[in-house]
Amino acid sequence: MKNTVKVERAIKDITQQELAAAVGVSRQTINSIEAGGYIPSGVLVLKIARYFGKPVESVFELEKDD
Amino acid sequence: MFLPFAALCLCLFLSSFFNLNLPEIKVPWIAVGDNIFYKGEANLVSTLGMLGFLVSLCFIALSREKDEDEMTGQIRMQSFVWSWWVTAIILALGILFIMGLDFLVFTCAAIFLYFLVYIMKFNLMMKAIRREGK
Repeated sequence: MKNTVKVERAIKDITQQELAAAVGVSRQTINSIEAGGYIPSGVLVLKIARYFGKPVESVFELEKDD
Repeated sequence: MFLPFAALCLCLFLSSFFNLNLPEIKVPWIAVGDNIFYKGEANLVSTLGMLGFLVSLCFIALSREKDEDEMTGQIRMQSFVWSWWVTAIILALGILFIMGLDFLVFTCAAIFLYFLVYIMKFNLMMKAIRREGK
């Protein structure tokens, strides 16, 4: 699953720590999501999309092999 | 709590190999054993040592991380599965290649194997993720 969390974060000009605190996870989790090492749960995906005020599909996108 | 019990268990483990004489505190004990019920004496040092070690390992394995979240939960699950396989392989090798009285010592040590492998794997994975995030 691809995501544009890093881009959205840059647009909003917030740090990983700030995003992590807003969605209730650790900074390491946000870092792993951005690096593609961890696929977040449905709840976390919705929380992140809501925080950026965008639909889920514009932040997270399925890849061919998903 | 962990260190003294771990040291005691290590001494118990080594004493079986090097014929060390550890202090014994015998107390009357009833348990499951020969002829269904074992009614005799138990060595309080080894019994409490192993029990304390097991409890302290449980505390370490199940204690929450400072920044516990859903990714930590997934890492825990991965570590559980990983340690399950590693323990199974080590047990299989032990069953195949350890014979005689040494097998008895091996089975005693194997009680704690799953916990030790899990704690090691989980902490190594968490350390790698924290280092990655820096």
